[in-house]
Amino acid sequence: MKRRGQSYVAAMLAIFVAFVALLATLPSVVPLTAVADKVDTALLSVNETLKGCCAHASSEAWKAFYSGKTGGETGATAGAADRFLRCWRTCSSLIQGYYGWLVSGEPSFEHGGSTLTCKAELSVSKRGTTSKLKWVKSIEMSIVNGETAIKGDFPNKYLEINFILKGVKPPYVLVEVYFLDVQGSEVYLRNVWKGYLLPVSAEGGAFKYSVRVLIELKYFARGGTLQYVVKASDDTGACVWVEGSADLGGG
Amino acid sequence: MGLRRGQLRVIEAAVAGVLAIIVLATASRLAYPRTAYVGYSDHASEAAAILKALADRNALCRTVYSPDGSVAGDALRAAVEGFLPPGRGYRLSVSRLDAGKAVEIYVFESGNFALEKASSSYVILSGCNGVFEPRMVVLSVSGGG
Repeated sequence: MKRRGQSYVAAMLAIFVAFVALLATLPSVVPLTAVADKVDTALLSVNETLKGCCAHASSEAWKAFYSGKTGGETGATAGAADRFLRCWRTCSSLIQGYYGWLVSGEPSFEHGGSTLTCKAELSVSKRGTTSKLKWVKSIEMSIVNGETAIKGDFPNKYLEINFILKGVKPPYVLVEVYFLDVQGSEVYLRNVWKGYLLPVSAEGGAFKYSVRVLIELKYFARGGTLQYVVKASDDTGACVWVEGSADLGGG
Repeated sequence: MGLRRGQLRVIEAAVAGVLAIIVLATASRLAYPRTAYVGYSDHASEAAAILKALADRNALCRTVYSPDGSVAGDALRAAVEGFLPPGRGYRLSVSRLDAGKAVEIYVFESGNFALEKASSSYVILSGCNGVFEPRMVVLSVSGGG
């Protein structure tokens, strides 16, 4: 009798374990519980348009830098701030029109090549209710001195660039490397390392990356210094870059 | 021995009862998140929550502005469907906002979309990857499923 009782309990336990295992292995569906029930899409539009305008203006700053380099003039990024404001004014009037919000306050854009800061402190009002909105995006890039140099044995010498990025968001950052190529009176920025996606594992931290770029023999034939530009863009297209140089002398 | 057998039966019944309660509690706990889809007050809120989830993952930027300038419709649909319960009807459209006009450049409507039961939410984007071209994404969700 006692044995029958034990086997009854064991059977119940087995059924329980099997049932739990079945439930646990069923395909689970990700619930949207992490998202607030009431999402203000007007606010979402403000955020998204600011993000897009920041990327647009930084891209314009890159174009100005690029043409400045290849044209032999100093790259000017001042026009990018105007592009940012123009973009934002267009978008804020659209938001006003489609949502009936009154958006006041002007965001700011600063691009120093290796630093990008887009900021906004806005007042948004609807039906007499006014609320403040703060938004900021900041990316910073720097070369690690002492760890960036031409390495390897001739003819397979490569440029190892170590750099730090701050403010980029997961999942990735797009990195490109350009070499300044002077041919007579013409100056080119050669894209020698095209669009590699480097991972970003967490938001808000500073990440150190190391890239290696093989150097063509023609650069050694010319001698002197190798000038390079490393450009990093986040997944919205907002970009920063750093310039550097390395001695080619040793051959 | 009789007394012991009686005691054993009581213990058996108690253990069985406890196990049954544990099974039911565990089952309800495991099964609960599957119904969390319907935790929205209305379809407009559900659509807004989906748009926000996509924006947070930068999926709107990447799919509404593909590298060739068009809308990556399949990717956008897949992203939306990832947040919708199976069988829910929806309509998704992307319009270019230009000179005070909204010109629809992409539209998809699921087979079970019911316009008369639908509610919508929309988001305005300025561009992506350096492109400046304001576009509006409208997601309408209707009952079903």
